Order: sequence, then structure tokens, then C-alpha cells
Amino acid sequence: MSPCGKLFYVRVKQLNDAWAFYANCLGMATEATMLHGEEKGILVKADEETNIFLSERKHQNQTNKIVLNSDDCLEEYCRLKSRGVIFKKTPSYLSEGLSAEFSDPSGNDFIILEERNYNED
Amino acid sequence: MRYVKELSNRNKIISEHTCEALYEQQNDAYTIKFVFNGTEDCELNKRRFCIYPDTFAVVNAGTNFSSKIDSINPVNTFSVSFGENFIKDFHHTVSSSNEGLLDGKDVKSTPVFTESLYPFAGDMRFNVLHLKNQLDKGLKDEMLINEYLYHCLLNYYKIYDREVVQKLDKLSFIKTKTREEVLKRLTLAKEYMSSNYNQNITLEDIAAQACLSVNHLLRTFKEAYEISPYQFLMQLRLNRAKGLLQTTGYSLNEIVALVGFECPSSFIRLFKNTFNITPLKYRKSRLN
Repeated sequence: MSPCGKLFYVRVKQLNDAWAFYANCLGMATEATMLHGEEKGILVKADEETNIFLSERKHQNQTNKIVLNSDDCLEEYCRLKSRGVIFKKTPSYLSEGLSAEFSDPSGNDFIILEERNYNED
Repeated sequence: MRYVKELSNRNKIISEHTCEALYEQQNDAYTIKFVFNGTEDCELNKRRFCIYPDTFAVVNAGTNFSSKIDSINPVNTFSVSFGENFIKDFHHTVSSSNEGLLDGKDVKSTPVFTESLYPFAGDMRFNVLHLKNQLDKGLKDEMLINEYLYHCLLNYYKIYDREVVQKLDKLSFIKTKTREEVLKRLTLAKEYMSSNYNQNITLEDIAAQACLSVNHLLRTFKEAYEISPYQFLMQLRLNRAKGLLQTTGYSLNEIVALVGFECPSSFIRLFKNTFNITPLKYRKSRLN
């Protein structure tokens, strides 16, 4: 996945289940952390520049839709599929490029997006 | 350098980087042929055409096909052949209704493609380049290779719909057979222009290749493609000039001659009018 410099705050039902999914299924680096020294959470390094902060509590700036940029959506799709990730449907074409969607156990939606410049020579 | 990757489902990919090659054979599988740089001269059922990097060719199983490469610079070719079951399954999935698929009643038929040149652009280009890059790096994962091949077919079906099905609809003839025959001849005209764009070709030459009268060619070509054969040829020359400006160190005068223009000033004017940038500024911008 390519750098995009983002931090997503994501609410999950159970940190333990989330840790298993993000670390084992998605193969992302995870680290247990505390927010403001009191709230337990997990910091997930989705790629070089994208971090996801998982917590069980509700926050104002949380999102349930995370876009992960990729250089090659089909490669990412097959890699994750072979690790047991269930995709909502097969990769499909958008005006921006190629995308594939899946959800985590808490119902947060992930979109792998390979942006394509169709006007390029 | 040449490598052949044959998968367990009989899908096959051949990549070659060569200055000289000659192949004559009956094509035994559905094949899509690409050229990444240079040109490959082909003969398909006694029809001659050239594959350039902006086009790809589709060849049905059982077609007599020969190809030749004879170039000072190495030509990079890439061909993808599909196993019979893979293509039947794909065709069955995309052409059957959901009910039919669920019932499993639809008979799996073998598709027959329109053998011709198609534009190599958009998603097809992105996916094939990914596949090639992965294979060049030694990819062995058959699931991923098949996923690329599945998408390659998906992209081709979209291109086929745009280039054949939608064009058929634009022709004003009442009988389907007539529309199909006219489009087939217009395809020959396009193939001829694409393969001889750098020659001094006339409307009479194009019409003769397409087995149409000049008037018939002009009228039906415009109906199907919304541009005249002359405009199509000019677009082709300008786009290929763009490719040469981007990928070679040829001087402007050399490029003008290579793409079939006689006068550099008219080339520069047309280039500027079409792309809103002069050829040399374009080359500079691509270098940056």
C-alpha cells in the first residue's frame, strides 16, 4: 500500500477480536496503546503513512469507512483473500480506478483503492 | 530473452524481448497479443497487420496465425492465451442471467471473438502492465496470475462492447447481417490505417482494402466512429508521434517523417491544435 499520510480513528466492538483480525488476517503491525493515559486502544500501522487507532469507546472524529490506497489492487485482494479476509464482492472498476471492499468484525468498511489516471499518455 | 509461463488450468503467458523472430502456427488457444515497444508484423487468415504499443490483437483458437519481428532495437512482445475451460467459464458467467447461473441449466458455449486490433488503453493497460511487472519479478502465485487474466478478459469484453457492439448499433442498416458485414469491412479499413499510418496512403487505398467504394467508406466510417477516415489517420499519427516524443530521442524532423507527415510545420500546428502544447514542449514536460 502506498503512502497517503492519514490517521483514522475507528470504533470496534472488542479490542481482542480486532487485534486478531488486524494482525493475523490483514497482517498489519499492531501495538497496544493508551489514549490520554486512560483509554485502552490499539494502534495499527496499515502502511508506511497510514495509521488506524482502534478503540471500544465512541469519539466524535471516528469513521467507519477507511480507504487504503494501493499500487496494485488485485495483488492486495489476492494477498488478503489468501489470509482469510472475506470481500463483499470481487474487485470492481470505479471512475477513480480499481477497488475492492471488505469489513472488519465490527462492521467497519475498508476500501482498497488503486487510483488510476486514465488521462495519462 | 523469452519466458513461458503455463498454469495448471492451461492458461499460458509468453513474454519475449527480441530483435528477430518468426512464428507460423495454427493458434491453438484464445490469445491476446500485446507489444510494449516496437512493432510485430502479423498475418491472420491471409490478412496482414502490425501490432503497435497502442493496440492489441485478439486471435481465436484454430486460426492460422504468423508473426514476424525484424528490428534493430529489441521488441518486447507479450501474449496471453486462455485455456478452453477458463474462457468457457468466463464467457458463461458474463453472458448468462443470474437465474440461469443458479439453475446451472445454461450450456457453456465457446465464444468467437472478432479478430482484429483493439485500442490498448485504460484498465486493460494497467492490468496487463501489472501482470507483466509481476511475472518479470518472478511471480509464481497462480491465484494472482489467474486473477489478472480474469480481469484481462473482463477488460477485453468491455472494449469489445465499445468497439464492436456499440458501433454496430450506430450503423443505420436495417439488416443485422449487413451491419455486421459493413463493420467487418470498416475494421479492415482501420487495421490498414493503423498498420500503414506512416505511408502515403490515399482514401482510394483504404477503400480498396476494405472492399468498399470511397463514398460508402466515408459515409459508414463516419456513422460508426463519428470521425472521417482522414481524421482517424491524423489522430493515429499524432498519438504515435506523442509516443515517439516520449520514449525516443529522435529529432522532431525524424519523428515527422516516421509518422507519415510531409511537412514539419503542418505537424507542429496540428499537434498544438490537438493537444494544446507544442511537440518540443510536450517532450520536455514528459522528461520532467
